[in-house]
Amino acid sequence: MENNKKKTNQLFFSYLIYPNIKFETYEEGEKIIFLLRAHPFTQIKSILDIFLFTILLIFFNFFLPQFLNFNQIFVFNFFCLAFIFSFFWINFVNWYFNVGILTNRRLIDIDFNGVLYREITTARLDKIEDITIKGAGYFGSIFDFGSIYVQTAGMENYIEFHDIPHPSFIVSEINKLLNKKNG
Amino acid sequence: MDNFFNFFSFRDFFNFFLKISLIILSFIYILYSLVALKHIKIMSKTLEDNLNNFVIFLSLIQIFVGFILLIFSVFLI
Repeated sequence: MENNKKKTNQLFFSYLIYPNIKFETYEEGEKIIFLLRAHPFTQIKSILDIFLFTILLIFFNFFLPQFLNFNQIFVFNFFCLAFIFSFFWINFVNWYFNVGILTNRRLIDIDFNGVLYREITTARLDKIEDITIKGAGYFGSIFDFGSIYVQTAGMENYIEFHDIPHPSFIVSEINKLLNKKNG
Repeated sequence: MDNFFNFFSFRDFFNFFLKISLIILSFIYILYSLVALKHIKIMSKTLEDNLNNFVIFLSLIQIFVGFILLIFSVFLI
């Protein structure tokens, strides 16, 4: 891994190796090894919701001419499509910006829960005590995604990377870095 | 008095109610879009990558759509 420093983006940008990004608490000289997002499959519920809303809108359009005139139907449809787009958009940005980052020095968990609320948790590699992998059930096994929980010394909270792709491989890479640090 | 009620028929009342509802919804949509833009700007500042400008641009489009909705609600219905 360390010898092969080729940048790659995989699984719709959910699994990036040596990504070209910066984050708020970036330290000078820090090398970003992985950027991880939830596996795209976990977004299937939002996509199905959008599909369902669109089908409902099409269904409503069969009955609307009985109650509304053309302009009213046009504006009503425009409204519904705008709200469907907003629903898709906020889901997308929440997925896109909720990331886990592994650098040569630290693990960083960036979470945005709700609107205008953020939580950035960092842990230095030499403080890591325990790493747990949890599978994500049936689909997690098929598509190889799961969650990683990292316990650090002196911290009550875990660092959590939810539903990330290839969790076992990520943990093995963290372990390699830890072994390197500890000699 | 009968003329008064005839003048404001159920249809007029319904159209008026629809118009007011859509205007209020447009304002809520614009407010929501502004908050979403602020949220996305905070996100972009926290994590900087190549797609950030595009994400902010789409959020600005969302605000623009909100104003179009307001104009349609006021003038088209």
